[in-house]
Amino acid sequence: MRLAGMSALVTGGAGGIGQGICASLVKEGAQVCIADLNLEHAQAVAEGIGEGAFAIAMDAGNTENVKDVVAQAFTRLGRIDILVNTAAVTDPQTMMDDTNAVDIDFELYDRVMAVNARGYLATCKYVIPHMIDQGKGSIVNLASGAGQLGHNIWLAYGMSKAAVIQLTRSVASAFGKKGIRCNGIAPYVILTENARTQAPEGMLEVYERFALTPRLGDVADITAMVNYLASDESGFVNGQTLNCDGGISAQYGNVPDVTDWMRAHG
Amino acid sequence: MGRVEGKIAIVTGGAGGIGKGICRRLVDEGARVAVADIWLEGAEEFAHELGEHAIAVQMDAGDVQSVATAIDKAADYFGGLDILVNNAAVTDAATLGADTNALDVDLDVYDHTMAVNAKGYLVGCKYALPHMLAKGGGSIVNIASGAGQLGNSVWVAYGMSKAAVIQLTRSVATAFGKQGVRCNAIAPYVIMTPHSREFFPEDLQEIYVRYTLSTRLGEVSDMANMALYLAADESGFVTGQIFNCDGGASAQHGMVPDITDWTKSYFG
Repeated sequence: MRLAGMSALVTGGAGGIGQGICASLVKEGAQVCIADLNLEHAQAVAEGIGEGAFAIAMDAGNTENVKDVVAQAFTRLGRIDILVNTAAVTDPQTMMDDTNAVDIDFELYDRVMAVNARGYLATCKYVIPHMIDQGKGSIVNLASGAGQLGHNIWLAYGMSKAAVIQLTRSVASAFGKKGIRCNGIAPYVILTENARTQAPEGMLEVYERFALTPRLGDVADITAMVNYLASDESGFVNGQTLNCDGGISAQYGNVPDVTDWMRAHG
Repeated sequence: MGRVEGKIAIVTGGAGGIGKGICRRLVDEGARVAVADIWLEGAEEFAHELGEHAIAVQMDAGDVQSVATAIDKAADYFGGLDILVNNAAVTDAATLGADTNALDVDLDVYDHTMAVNAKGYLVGCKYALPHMLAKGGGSIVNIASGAGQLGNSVWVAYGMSKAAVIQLTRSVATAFGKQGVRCNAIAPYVIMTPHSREFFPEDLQEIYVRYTLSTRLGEVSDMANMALYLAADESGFVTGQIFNCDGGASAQHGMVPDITDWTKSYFG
């Protein structure tokens, strides 16, 4: 087991990706505190995992609450070796209203930034002192490809994820010499069970066309990367944001169309 | 159950410091490995040490036919190929010493470096791909370098060859991804091998450590662990990527340690 004897705090741990991460950290030997806005759901996830996991309510947009949750998690775990930040605003209504620089509502922008960016900063702020005391720690921030390249919608979401990528480098720069590593994961088109069944017809085919892989991502793709970054195996990896995106960001967008055009023209 | 259980791999430059670490890690996790190296004796000795799951093959990365033969030999012996780790590069002290800058560099040094480091990797991909496509997929891991991503006052040819490898990585991922082949690269910073530990002056090591976000330089195990992750199916949705194994050296502005010291001394 790659995380035997370690303790982890996972924010948004009851979400689709979050619960996969919690289960896989426990499978690798870690004790996990599942922090989520939806306590009932978090408790169900903890129960499903069984020994090694417990739930706690946390509102990532409320800094006082985050501070309190970190303190409680530390008390119950005895140490925090791993922090995985995943708590983000992702409800369909917000994602729908999160449009572009002209149309966006500032209240929505403020709320998205408060949770997705400031929420990650808050957990780092309160967890890092414990990690410094321990002499080491690994922070994994779930960012997004939406924070790296342009998109005609999801302005606030993208800005918050870009902010998280810089937070990642900043934490690594400031605390790397104290044994703390901080890395990001930038997923794109990772499909939870929900997303797979609820996607409107034809949408996934569009994404598939622009991925370099024969398939879209699933939660296990993220959990494997989290395990790698959380464990000592990645001891010389710091300040990085690794894409888990089927290579979507590695090619120009025109490639599938131009390839088809070339075929059509013999 | 190992993380690359039953997979067949070839590691070029497999008898070098980093290559050995990668071979060993892959074997430990259940793979069968061909140790390909220009130095056959070293490869044979090491393959013997690894036991029945390893064989040695001679390969000169600067000779197209030699690379093709080595790959086919490995695939024939084990019955296919799932993993190629391109790692063979010109790293001898004489070449690196002569590999200076655009004004002073000897073009023979450039040609030799590009032939082995860049073309050698391309040739590895070219002859490994048919084996992988025949099996419905595979994973290629190219050992690149931070020297191919940021400026350096020396090593113009080495840096250019590694930048070329980074683009090769994206190209292979783009062209063969839909057929199940993934191609990723690792860009290391200073990695301490048993060999480099001998000649690397300590005060120079300290300078390199100073500009990382880590408390130490890289170890062979850092490279082996990342190569294992990228070779294994667990990274199935990762392709066309360049992952830095550099202690965060490329993640902050170079002046940060110095300006931090200055700030401390100026403001007390």
